[in-house]
Amino acid sequence: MKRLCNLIIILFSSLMFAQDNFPLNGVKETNQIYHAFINVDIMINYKDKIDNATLLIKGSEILEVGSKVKLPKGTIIHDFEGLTICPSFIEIYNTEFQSTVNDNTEIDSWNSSINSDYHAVNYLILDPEKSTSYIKQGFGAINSLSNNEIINGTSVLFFPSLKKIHESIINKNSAISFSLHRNRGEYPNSLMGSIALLRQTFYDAQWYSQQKNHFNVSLESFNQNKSLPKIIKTNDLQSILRADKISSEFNEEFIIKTNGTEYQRIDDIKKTWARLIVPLNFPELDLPNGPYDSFQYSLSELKHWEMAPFNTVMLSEKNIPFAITTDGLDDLSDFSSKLNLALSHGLSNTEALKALTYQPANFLNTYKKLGSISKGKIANFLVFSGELFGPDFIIYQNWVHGEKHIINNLNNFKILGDYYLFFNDEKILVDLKINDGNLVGIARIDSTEINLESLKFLNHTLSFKIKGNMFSGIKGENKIYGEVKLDNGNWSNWELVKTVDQIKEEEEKITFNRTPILYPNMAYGLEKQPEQKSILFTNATVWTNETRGVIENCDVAIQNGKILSVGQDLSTNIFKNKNFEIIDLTNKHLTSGIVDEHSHIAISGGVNESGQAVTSEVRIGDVINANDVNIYRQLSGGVTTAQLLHGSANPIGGQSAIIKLRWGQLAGKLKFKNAKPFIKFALGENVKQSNWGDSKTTRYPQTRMGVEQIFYDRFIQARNYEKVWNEYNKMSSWKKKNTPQPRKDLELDALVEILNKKRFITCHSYIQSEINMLMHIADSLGFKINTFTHILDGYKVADKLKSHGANASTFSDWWAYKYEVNDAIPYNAALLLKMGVNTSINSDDAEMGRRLNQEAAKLVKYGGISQEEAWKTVTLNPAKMLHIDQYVGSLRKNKDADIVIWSDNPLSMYAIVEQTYVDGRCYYDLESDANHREKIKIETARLLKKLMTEK
Amino acid sequence: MVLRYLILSFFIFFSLFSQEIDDRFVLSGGTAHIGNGEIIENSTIIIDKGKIVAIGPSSSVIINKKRAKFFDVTGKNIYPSLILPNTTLGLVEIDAVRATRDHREVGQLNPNVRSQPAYNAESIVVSTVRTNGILLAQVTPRGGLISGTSSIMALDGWNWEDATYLEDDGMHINWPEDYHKNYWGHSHNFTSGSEEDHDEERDEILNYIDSLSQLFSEAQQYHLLPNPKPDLKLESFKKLLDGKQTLYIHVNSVVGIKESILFAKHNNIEKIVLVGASESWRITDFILKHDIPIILGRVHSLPTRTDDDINQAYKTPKILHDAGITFCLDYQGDMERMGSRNLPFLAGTTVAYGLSKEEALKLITLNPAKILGISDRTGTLEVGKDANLFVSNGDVLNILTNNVELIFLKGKQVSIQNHQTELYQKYLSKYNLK
Repeated sequence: MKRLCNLIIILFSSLMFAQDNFPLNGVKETNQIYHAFINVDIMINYKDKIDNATLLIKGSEILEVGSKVKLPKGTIIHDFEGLTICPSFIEIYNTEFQSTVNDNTEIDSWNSSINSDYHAVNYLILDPEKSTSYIKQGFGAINSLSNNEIINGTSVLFFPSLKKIHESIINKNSAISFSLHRNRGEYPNSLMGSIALLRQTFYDAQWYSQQKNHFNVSLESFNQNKSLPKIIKTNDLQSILRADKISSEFNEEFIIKTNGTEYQRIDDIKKTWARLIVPLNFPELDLPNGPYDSFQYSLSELKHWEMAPFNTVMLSEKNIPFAITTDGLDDLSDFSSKLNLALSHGLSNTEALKALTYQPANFLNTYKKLGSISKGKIANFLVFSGELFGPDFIIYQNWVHGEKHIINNLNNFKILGDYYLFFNDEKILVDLKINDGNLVGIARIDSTEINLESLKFLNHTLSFKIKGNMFSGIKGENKIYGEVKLDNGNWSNWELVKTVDQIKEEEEKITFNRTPILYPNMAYGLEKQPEQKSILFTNATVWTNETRGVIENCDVAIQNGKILSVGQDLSTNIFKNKNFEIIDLTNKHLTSGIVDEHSHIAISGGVNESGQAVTSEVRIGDVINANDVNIYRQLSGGVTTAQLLHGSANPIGGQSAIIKLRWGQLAGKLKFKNAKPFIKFALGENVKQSNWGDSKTTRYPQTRMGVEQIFYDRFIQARNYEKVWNEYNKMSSWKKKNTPQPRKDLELDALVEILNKKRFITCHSYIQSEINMLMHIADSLGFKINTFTHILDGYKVADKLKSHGANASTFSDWWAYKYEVNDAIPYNAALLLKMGVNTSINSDDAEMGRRLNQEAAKLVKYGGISQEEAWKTVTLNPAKMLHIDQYVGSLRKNKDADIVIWSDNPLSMYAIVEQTYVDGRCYYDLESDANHREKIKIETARLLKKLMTEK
Repeated sequence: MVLRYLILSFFIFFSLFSQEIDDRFVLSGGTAHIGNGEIIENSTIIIDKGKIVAIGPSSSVIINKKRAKFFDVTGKNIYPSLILPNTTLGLVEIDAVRATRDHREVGQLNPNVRSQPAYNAESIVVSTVRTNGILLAQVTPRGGLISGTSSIMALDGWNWEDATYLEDDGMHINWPEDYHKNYWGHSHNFTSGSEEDHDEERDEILNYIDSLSQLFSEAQQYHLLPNPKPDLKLESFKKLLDGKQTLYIHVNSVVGIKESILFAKHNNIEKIVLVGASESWRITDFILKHDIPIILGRVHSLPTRTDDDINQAYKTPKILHDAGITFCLDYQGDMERMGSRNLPFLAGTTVAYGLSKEEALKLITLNPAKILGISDRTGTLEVGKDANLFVSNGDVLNILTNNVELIFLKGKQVSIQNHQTELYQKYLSKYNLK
């Protein structure tokens, strides 16, 4: 409060209510004077306007608004003819007024990212300079919050007024602030970990509310504030859908703070019915220095640069409720220019005003106080000239909580316009206008424009200089007139007379055109999903993976995403008559799609949740990244199905997701329908952190001894947990009512599923000791280890694997990267196969993932496996171990039409994938790949050219 | 051609009588892939005292089976040794075990550091690579701006002295490059996110280039001093400045390639080779004009950027070949040593993307020999060259048929067994399998 900002002269209205509740410095001010704004057009809300109306306020309250308002005695009258009043804006998402002190304590919650007991009001710092900058942009209320953690407690809604901080709070608990993204060293350090913790906290809160034995500060606060609006921050488009998914799980209605990319999937956003808080963070790109420097911009960045200003436009077209925030702007002063960009791209000023007044007020359940101008509401309004957000839009005053803040001198408004200046026999066209808060005058002499120097307007007196001539005069009714001291020392008279005729040229309106969105909106993205075709492939060498083996001159028919028939001499005519496309594959090979048992592509926000040794609660399925170009790249290698696995940072890792590579679909649609649930386990050097650096020596376990104990411990806990729940579930409904429900533990839920053989384990493993150890644990607890993955020592225990019933998914020839893979041999898979273990070859690597056919061929080289059996290690065998072989992995009637066309024997080095089909849709083929590249070239060139022209 | 073989073979025929037979071998009936693009079907090769003394169609070479160890390789394929350039093979055994890592010395400027004495002749990894027909490797230090000096090692020997094929063949510099945020996965440390970082990097790059220039200038002046005090770093430049050593510039970007070539030319370096050079395909004219050979980075690589041709790395060899650039293939990167036994399959991929098999074979035989400066002794199956060769049952470039059965290194038969084949045999018998 010590500093007054030099930008704005603050005039304190002397009309405060209720000043009796604090000690005064000076003499008492009373609240008895009324202010009436008359002859003014009033936008009483974002859509309704009363022309030539009156607004009557007293203190911070609006008393009347309308065409006929009776003015009481004691009213100061402001004649605002020619001006307009609208509600002040509301900033709904702001972190700038929070102190950076981190108040997380272990007393609140076991996890510092669950900070439910945080109250933004306690950390509010009302920096006058910051307040002023928001007032200058037209804001009259700000919702301040913290978003560093996953749960950040409550936000506070306040007036950025500068007088009495203790009276500036509107609502100290306006909303709860969540954030989906948080990355720090301790748990959770991945996106999937954050989501899991959020989910667990919702369950914990439910449990907490039903019990009386425990007290927990954080859960207590969470439940107390349960009915508040819940705002959740997301960092990308896919996370909006993630947040929406969580909200449906718990019947919540999140208000989702976005990153401004909703336009890329507008229909899917619409389907969430979520309310959004949208930034205006349209990217600005530097001009590249040269052709090689231009590589810095990917097509997706350039496309976003072009389309981002359409985001709010498209949201409003779809009637998606959204509020606009300044969060994400590099500088608050960019607000009006960014908003103008949205307007010039088609956002109506009504929609803009709605997103800055009605919606934020509505989202925060405070529309009865703020967001419009009506009787009884708080006196928060702007006084402006020109069209709202138009090119001549100038805010003069921002009344906040009944306090006037001057943005531009209203006096200046009186003299704005086009004039002719007459002096010394000259007639010069002069335009007086406000530019960036300053009065400027532009004189046009001989078609060049010069600025009037030292231009100043006091209440009545105007002075300026042109070319050494010094002018001073006063404003009269229709003209401004006075004396000029000429550059030769002589005195003369002058006058400025308003022009009558329209002199200004209409500014040329630039129209912005939308360009097609790609799915995903990047290089190799699709304009639409490929069709599900009916095709008859003829004359191919077909690798059936069935008892019929490899059949030459064979035909395969597909329809509705399924295989219709496989056989020699399918009658071409019959299919032709049924409108099947006929594709002749003479000299080509046709196989089922490759199944990659071990992949880490297409995962957002971290492959590992390494914050704890046991993280069975985290789910890769929550964080599938449908925008990973590696999906497309794997298709080019014939991969159609992949198991996306959690990393190997901990003994019990996260739940996996089995996906089909339906490039261009959203994450939810990539999931393999009907796939059984899996989970990642891991053993050895990674889980005991052997290669994590010398500082990582404290997390349990650090030895293979500890690894065994972790497994036993957690499974015993899971058994007990299951027992508690079983007992509860068996109770009569009467007894249930009187018994608190046991706490739901997502971590143990997953382990109970394993014990009950409903969830299958894929275990990262290398050496024989640990492999045997885990089989012993499983045997003793009555379940099976479904798959040992990597398992480079598998050949040493092939007989044990066989009798346990485990599958093996291994590398063809990797070794020597760690001590535990010293005995890895490229004959591993061959030995396992010879011993009757169902064995697959996996990638674990996006590069090798597109050459799995070659990796399978290594089984022929190392160990002499037949070509047919070798091929199965990347198709049928992994399908079997993933329990999806009834759908994929071989070519048989009614299986999925996941098909790859090869130029040669698929095991040959010289084979190239020519086409890859998933569910009968062709997602990759050589020709369309070439088309993609041409499109990328043309589109990038177009956008770079546009970037260079617009700069 | 045939006549020449005939004359030679008569010579061999007579000389065989006077020799012991344990260094005399005859391989007969196989298809000889010479390494220079030519093929001799049903060939006969005679190895004597470490050298190839005869090669030609079997009909033209007369031999005496009793005086030499005779191999009937009918229907099989004979290839010159595959040559692995730019590798840390023998310098590191197990990635994760620090005690086994000897490839990266401390500091930015290590011109005097030499890989040769750190080479582990008993490396188990080496033995598995040799089994696939890779018999020679350029063992190369890593890290810093100047990593040090490589040597070419034969992948069989009692000790490093014994294994040395060409000592100190060249000095390796890592050209500081301007990798933007969309570049990733490259060797140098310039991989960051924000624009500010990027600007800092640019400054850093200039400083690095300046320190390289400084050292090169000092080295040049040092060798003009009448009585220089011994300075290991400056002294180590002598062979390079005298044109007796090659400057290997590890660089990938277009700008980096141009800058570094001009830098080397400016410093009057005669023999320059680019290593990595993933973007070389964009500026083949420039490279050709300066006549710079390339050790091309791994063909089995993902593209650098999202927008790139997803198969760019597969296609680059054909582009370089068609432009007439001399280049060979390396395996630097992930799984660099244990994976390098797949070198022939990188060449196989270039066949899938347009090269003929014999042209592809050149990329791992004659071309690396030329580029590394050993083509007078190896790289092809030609008379007078070292007998560095092997027999594969089928096409060596194709995984399906690659099956090495016989290996000769400097005329000595080398075992195809290794740690892994032994474990295989051990467990085959444990399970009574064949």
